[in-house]
Amino acid sequence: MFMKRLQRYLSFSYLTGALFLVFVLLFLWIGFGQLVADYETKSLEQRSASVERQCNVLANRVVEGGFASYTMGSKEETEGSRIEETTQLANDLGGRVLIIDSHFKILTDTYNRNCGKYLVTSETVNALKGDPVPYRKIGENYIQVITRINDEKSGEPIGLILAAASLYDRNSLLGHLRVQRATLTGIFFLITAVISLLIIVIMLRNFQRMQIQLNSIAAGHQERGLSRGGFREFYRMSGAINRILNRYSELENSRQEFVSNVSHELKTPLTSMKILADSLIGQQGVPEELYQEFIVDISNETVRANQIIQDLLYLVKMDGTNQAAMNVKPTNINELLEVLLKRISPIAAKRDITIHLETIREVVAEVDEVKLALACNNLIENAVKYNKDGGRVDVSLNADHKFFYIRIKDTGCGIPEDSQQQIFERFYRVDKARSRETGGTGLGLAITRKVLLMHKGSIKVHSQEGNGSTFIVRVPLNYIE
Amino acid sequence: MRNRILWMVCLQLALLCFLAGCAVHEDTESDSGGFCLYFISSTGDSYEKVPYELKNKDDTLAAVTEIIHELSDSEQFNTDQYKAALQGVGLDSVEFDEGNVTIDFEEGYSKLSSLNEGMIRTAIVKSVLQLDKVESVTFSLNGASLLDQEGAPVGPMNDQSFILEDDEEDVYSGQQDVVLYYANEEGTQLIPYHTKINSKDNEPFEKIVIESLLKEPSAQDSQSEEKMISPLNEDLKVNQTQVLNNICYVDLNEEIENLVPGVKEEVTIYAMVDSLASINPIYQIQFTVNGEKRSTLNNVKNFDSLFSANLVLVTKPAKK
Repeated sequence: MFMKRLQRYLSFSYLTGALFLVFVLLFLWIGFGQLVADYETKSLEQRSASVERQCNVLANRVVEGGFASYTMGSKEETEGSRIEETTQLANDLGGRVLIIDSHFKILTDTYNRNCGKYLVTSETVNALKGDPVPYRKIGENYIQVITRINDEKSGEPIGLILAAASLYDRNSLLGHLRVQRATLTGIFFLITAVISLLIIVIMLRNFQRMQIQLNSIAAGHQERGLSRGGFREFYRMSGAINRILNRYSELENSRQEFVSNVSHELKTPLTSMKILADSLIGQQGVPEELYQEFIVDISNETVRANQIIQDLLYLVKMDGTNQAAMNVKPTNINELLEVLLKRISPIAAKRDITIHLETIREVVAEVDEVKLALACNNLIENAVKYNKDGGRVDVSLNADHKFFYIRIKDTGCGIPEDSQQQIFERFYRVDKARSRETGGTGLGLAITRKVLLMHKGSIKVHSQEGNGSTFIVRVPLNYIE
Repeated sequence: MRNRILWMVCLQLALLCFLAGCAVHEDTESDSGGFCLYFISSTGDSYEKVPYELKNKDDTLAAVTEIIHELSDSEQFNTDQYKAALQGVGLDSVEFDEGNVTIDFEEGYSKLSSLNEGMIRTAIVKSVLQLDKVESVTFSLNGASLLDQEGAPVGPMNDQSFILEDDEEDVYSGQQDVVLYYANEEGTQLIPYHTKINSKDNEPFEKIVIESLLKEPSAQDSQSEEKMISPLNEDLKVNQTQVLNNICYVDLNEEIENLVPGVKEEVTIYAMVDSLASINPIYQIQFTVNGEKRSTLNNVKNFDSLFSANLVLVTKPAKK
């Protein structure tokens, strides 16, 4: 369970980041490999230089003491007195030292093999000529360094020291470095492989799971939705898809509700009509006044039904309509309101309801006049309809540089708090029982809200049961596509 | 399809014949006479062996004179690859006595720089030594012995005296006669085995001797009727060796602590000691284990002392 929650905060980007890091480290390793390769040559150079330094010390000693003291294998007592120094040097170098005179004769060989022989190779020839002879490896374990013994006065070469020095230390370090590098390679590749596999496997699994669920939804089982889990990307994706599904199921529900509402609302007047007609049909010798009365009632019901149908059609038309159907042009809102209030005043007067219009400024806005008039009219009609006798309706108009505001306040019965969000729904009545008495289609506020939405405006309601309601409408001055 | 395969096979056969022919041709060319004159290469630092047909094959003295004459002929032999070895030096006389040729030069020889002298001497001696009857060559200067840098006479020079670049053995390789001591089948005694060991790349002989003891000689090489087994642990390694003042210092790895199954401790140790003592400058051997001296190793006391050759354990080899 914890893992699942943890996964939610993990994004594939982290894993990919980790993978990227590994690649970076891999490149660093390649650089390290270069260092190792570099060490291979540098260490030889360094060793060669060190050996040459030590041989130069011996070379000076030879010049000072004379070749005779360093000659091995001689039976003369005077010779070879300083051979110890040569063997000591060979010991220090972990290898072998040969001393050669200007005629190529090997005077000393610490391996005691080639004393007295003549070593005439291009290396010794060039060295005795004074040309530089670079170091070279002998097999894998030794490095040969040739050092000249130069005459004190003339500086000319009078002999050579050939040193074969051990590369044991350098080789073991090199071996160690190579092992390190190989180990690091192994580790990096392993990590990279593991992470890559992990990413692939997890992604595949997530995709598969999502696919299966999507398939089932597509087949029609859309109530199930997608399971939430997996990495962040999938978590968000499934969340979004679930919201889309919810919207559609809401739409579906509202459609069903709408259809049932429509049939219900239409059924009422039709049923009344049938009852009235049936009662007329059933009777005989009905007085003319009764006929008249019933027919009038039937006519009223048809008007009612017609109104419902008209409003519905209007609403449906606005639902499916695109913005091109909006007939937007600059309109004087003050005038619009004045016309509406004038139209309603007789009806208001009948119940002694006073209407006040307060215009703080002149407002001209880009609106669809017909639609906005209808929207405001519905609000004003409601303000009168749900008012108490002798009450009042206050309409005010204001604007800032972005929006204009219409406030419609009544002193009516108010709207209970838990219904305040629902009043804009189609066919919603706070008190269903009084529906017939109050009249109307139940679609007024739905139409009003739809119109305002099309203008990118908004509507708010403040109401207290028993005290009255205030509707505040806000519409942008300039029409936004 | 079949035609193609046939054609390919024929082509390959032809190629093979051609290559074989070349190889044969090369061999015969080097076998015929094979006499070469050693000229100095144009770079001045090595020798160019130029094939040459001797006119005086049978007469040694005349041949030697001919050789020196040819080697001095700068007109005929000056080319891009090589030049005459000897120039401006006159030959006094040539003597041949019991395998040794003595060549006497005149004054001019002493004026040669030591570098040139060394190179020329090598060229002449290597050329002359190719003659059948010649075993050694001695130089003299106006009748007096040729002296080296230290003032001692140079003396007779033979094939062993020179190490050149094209030799099979160079200064870092070599061969040595040695007696390797292997363990007998019961692991109680040592059996001697006379052989040569080859070293290359500057590997010390001592190290090679011990490493050779790890493998028994093959059946046909065996000089004794008894079976020889290796007295050493197969994982034993020699870390380092050194020879100082006739003492051979041997540093072994820790495998020496493990007994060899079927071989007595003494036999293992003295196999190494006696084999090493058979190499010329070595009289005594000192062992260390991974750089440290050990006073006791299993049952052997004084493992850190100097060991000398002990032939008590050696059986008398039954000659095949």
